[in-house]
Amino acid sequence: MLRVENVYKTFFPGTINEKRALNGLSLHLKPGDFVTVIGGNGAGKSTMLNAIAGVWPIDAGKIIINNVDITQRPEHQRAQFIGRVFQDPMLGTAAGMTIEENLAIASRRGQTPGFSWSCSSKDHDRFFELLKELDLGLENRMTAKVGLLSGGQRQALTLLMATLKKPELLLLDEHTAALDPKTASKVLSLTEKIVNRDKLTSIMITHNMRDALRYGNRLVMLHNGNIIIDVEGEQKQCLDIPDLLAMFEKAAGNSLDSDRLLLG
Amino acid sequence: MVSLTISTIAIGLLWAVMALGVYITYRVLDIADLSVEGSFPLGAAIAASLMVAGYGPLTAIIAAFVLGALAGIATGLLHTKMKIPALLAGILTMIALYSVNLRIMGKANIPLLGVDTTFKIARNLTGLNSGECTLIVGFVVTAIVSLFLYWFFGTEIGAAVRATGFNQQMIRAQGVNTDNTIILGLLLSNGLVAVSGALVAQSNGFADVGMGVGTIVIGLASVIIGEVLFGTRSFANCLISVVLGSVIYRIVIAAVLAMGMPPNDLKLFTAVLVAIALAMPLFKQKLSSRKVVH
Ligand SMILES: Nc1ncnc2c1ncn2[C@@H]1O[C@H](COP(=O)(O)OP(=O)(O)OP(=O)(O)O)[C@@H](O)[C@H]1O
Ligand SMILES: [Mg+2]
Repeated sequence: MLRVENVYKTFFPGTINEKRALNGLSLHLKPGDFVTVIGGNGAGKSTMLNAIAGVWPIDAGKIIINNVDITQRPEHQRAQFIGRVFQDPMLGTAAGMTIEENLAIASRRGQTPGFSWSCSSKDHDRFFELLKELDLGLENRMTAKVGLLSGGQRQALTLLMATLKKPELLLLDEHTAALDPKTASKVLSLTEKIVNRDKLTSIMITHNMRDALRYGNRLVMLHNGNIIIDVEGEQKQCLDIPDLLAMFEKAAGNSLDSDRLLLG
Repeated sequence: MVSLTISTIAIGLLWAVMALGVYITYRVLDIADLSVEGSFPLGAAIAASLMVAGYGPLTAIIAAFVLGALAGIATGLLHTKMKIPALLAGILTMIALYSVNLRIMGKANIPLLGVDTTFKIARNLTGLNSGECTLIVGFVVTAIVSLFLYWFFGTEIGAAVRATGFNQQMIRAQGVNTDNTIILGLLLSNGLVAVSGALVAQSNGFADVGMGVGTIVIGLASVIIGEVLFGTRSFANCLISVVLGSVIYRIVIAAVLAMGMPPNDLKLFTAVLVAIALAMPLFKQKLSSRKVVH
């Protein structure tokens, strides 16, 4: 479904700040895979998602979705395949526009905008029902500007927007990291609900090992721009945190700098 | 006094078209676009030249929009394709347009004496005086432009342009090419500014290569005054605020002139006005944080 083939990305090449962020990374996803991604700071997790989403060109390698080679396509042309939720709750929505306006834009993800009216009354009822399912009371605030919402509400809305038009691939970059624990777990279970309901192929970065083990059917760990652990199915289900740490030590040859990797 | 007020309001409406253009870049796209300093006299230059050559005012105004739009596209290409910061891209276009405008006019000033301007035609048709005619024309044009903008920014494309101003990352992730939306916004903005230039030239009775100086500041003053006095609740509300802001600005200017301020100090006065208005949020913040401390 998704094939990331031998991708390299170096930032600031040829300068003193040169940083090889992706180092021949390959990842193949089957349809319906829900992959959680863990790894230390600067391991290249966000860079991997940005490479798939096309935020900048990669140095070498290929990115293929559903047998379409999208390596050369700019970010906006990949949006027809990809829904995204960012770590920063500010990034996924247009703060100065209303909830309804944001949803209307998201309902056309990947289509060339035309001269039809952006918010149709037909959509209104559909959005109302979908917002109601979020159970955050947003269905009664559809004409409120998104900038007035809390971080958690915005992330839930962004998640809804990313999946409103079913994406081939859902990319979640620590989308609950900026939220308080209670809101984070609410958004996470919402994520799981939507992913399962729509059978979305998804990649979810998290720095919480327990979440990484709890969610999804597959888990990969990145280190120095490469995948060093890749487990799925039953093998993943049987893992616990000490197993993961031991696997990391074996694969990376040193013990995990777990500053930001929450063990609990 | 009444006729003075009427013509002041009328002039405010002609300039409101320019202020709406500035609103599109400054508020909708979140870009301070200085090309308007060149596209305003550009509109005046092309309109005056065409009308002196015998073309009708409608042709002149349409030509002004087209040339202004091209100027906006130039700034847009400099900014998006050549990655030049928006402010600098606008300055480059503005400077280039100075030469372009001189080329179009062939001289620094074109008088429109004896030419059938929009206002003269309106006067002949209605028999009203010049201030009243300007008011009617200004009202009709501003109304058409405002309605058009309300419609445009409610469409899918317009929504994409607005979203670009708020969050480029978001709208790109939704599949929109932000280069295109930025260029589109600049096109529309500078087209309107040029139309305003064409109208103001007709109302003044001349086009002058120097008439664009301070356009951006007058535009900002109108936007900010309008927003503060008349609110920003909805997009329609914002458009009306900008139009009224432009009118209020003209009334303020007329008032300070009547109170004896030398006309040469007008630009300084406007700049100070805008500087204070722009610093308002900071003042407010300082005041409220002081309250917390004590
Ligand atoms: N746009 C960029 N420009 C320059 N360097 C970058 C950029 N994005 C990432 N990097 C660098 O690439 C490396 C990998 O960064 P990345 O953001 O992918 O890490 P990560 O695994 O997401 O880490 P974190 O857990 O901190 O989010 C880091 O050294 C980072 O500084
Ligand atoms: Mg990251």
